[in-house]
Amino acid sequence: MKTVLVKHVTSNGSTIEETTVLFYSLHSFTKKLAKHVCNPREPWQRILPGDSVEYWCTKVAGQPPIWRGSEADRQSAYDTVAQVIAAQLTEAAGAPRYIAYDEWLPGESRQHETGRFYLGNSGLIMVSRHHRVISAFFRQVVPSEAFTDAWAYLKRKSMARSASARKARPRSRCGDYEYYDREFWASPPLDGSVARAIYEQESGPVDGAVSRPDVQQVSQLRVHVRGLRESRHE
Amino acid sequence: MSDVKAQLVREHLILLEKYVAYWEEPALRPESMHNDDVAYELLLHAGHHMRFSGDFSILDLLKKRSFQEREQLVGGVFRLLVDARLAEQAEALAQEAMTDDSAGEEFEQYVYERDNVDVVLRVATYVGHEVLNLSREVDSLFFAARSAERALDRVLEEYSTLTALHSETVLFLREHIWRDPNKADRWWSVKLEKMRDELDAPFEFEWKLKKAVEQEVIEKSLGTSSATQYPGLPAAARSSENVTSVRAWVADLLEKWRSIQQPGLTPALGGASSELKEFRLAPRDLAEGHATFTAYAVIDDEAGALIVEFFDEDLGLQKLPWIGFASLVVRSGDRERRYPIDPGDGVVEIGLGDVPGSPGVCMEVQDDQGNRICRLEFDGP
Repeated sequence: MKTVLVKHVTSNGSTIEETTVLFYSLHSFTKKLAKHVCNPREPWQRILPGDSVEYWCTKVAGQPPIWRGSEADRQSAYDTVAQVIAAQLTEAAGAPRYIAYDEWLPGESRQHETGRFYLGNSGLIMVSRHHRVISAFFRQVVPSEAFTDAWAYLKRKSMARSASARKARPRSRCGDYEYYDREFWASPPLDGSVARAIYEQESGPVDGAVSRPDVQQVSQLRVHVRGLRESRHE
Repeated sequence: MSDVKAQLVREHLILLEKYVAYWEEPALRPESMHNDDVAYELLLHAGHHMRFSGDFSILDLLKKRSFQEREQLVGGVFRLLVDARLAEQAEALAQEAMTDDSAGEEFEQYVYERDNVDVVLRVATYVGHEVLNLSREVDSLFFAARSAERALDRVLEEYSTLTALHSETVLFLREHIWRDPNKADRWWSVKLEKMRDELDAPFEFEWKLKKAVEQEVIEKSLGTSSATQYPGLPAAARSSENVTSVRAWVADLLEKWRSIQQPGLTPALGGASSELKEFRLAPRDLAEGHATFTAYAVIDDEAGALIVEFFDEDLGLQKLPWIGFASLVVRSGDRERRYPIDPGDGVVEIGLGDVPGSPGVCMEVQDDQGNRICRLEFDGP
């Protein structure tokens, strides 16, 4: 299996390099491929080259997508997807844009290993456990902006697990979650044009942007939501 | 307002502001986002804001929007829920999650989304009450969306163990809703909490006992009390002044545990008589074609059973719900008993009274044809 050298930031601010393996086996990768890459709701075509998704996957209307490639295709599919995931992983770790946690191993040894959720710049969520990527997927439950949706999902999940770890629930196997970087995980990310649309109504054009002539009137709803949001920012 | 609740309210307001901007200014949207998607996100974040803050003002403003706009908003939400085919996708993932631990991470999305569906449908019916009464098209979409919701419910209930295992995020969020969660019994998360409680019940006692025994050991070794560390202890015992009551409670638990033990069992398991332990079972004579695994055995005194669970060593000790393992056969001399291994969670329960005394206890894992996959031997704690 392909490995990738990923640079991570540690809690004390220093950087460490770790080798991460991509998937357990070709078999487990193909299962993931059929489920995620072939899922029309997941925007893999944005990050994979050319028409590879159409080539690997058979889509029948009303049916779940299936893998149609040959044995030989598996290896080439793995090589292509692994390369893209490696790039997303390196980018997410370098940004940094990931959440790390310690997971206790079964038994009484009290050994623990690190798990991480990475958020790629495309909105791809990569799950790694014990230095191995076990899954990579886009949140596809409802079509939405993959990046913001993935941010919200990972944030809620990590908040919940941290709280559970603090309560020491019987099934809790994870310790506290560490956010890298903290600033990125503190507030939902906004696309530049949206942020401008929201903020220029408060204080005029920002960063030299030209005020949009189409926004003639701000609705009562927007004014109200903005007022509530501002009161929460303090 | 607690920090977490304030944080949730603030985050939903930021997202709501963004989706209101998308709704009112379609030019700002990414190309892939359609009207229905924006309607769903807008009502979802408006609903979550109300849920955590108790403030209905945003929903009331949405209610004042024109009939046509509300028709687009709520109709879009219902249409999206019907098209999303959540139940089918959740079922496919649930089946895979039974044999692949990593799929559990993905299945969790559906437990989380079920809660979102609950919120968005409530908000849509609140905001679009008038629309539902007057627009036949939206009304029929509403019924289709409710059917999709019920279909997802059926899947989550069918795989209730899996659902409960991945309920953490939703139950955490439920703790922070604006009113007393116990009185908010209309939320779907109440059903989820029941599933989780059913799942945890057999483990609760074992966990408390383990913590209490650890506590006793710490106290003995340090000569101090750190009773406040363990939230599993009764409230009265949490205070450091109540060391005596902690000890009494521990003694009571240990007595209860000892009383159900069978003579001869403890030496066979290699544990001291006053401790609850997790035992490692080492596989021998592993047949070809099967990955290496480790079995752990725990005495569950409340269920009166020895619970054996299988973990895959090749997958970094992931829990192994392996369909290839059909039964566990326990032999002692001429006696032989067969216990089915749950293909869903890879767990087998052996009644304590049925486990033969030591020595000579022998366990075999067999496939569905009765072929021996391997022999298990206690390898000590």
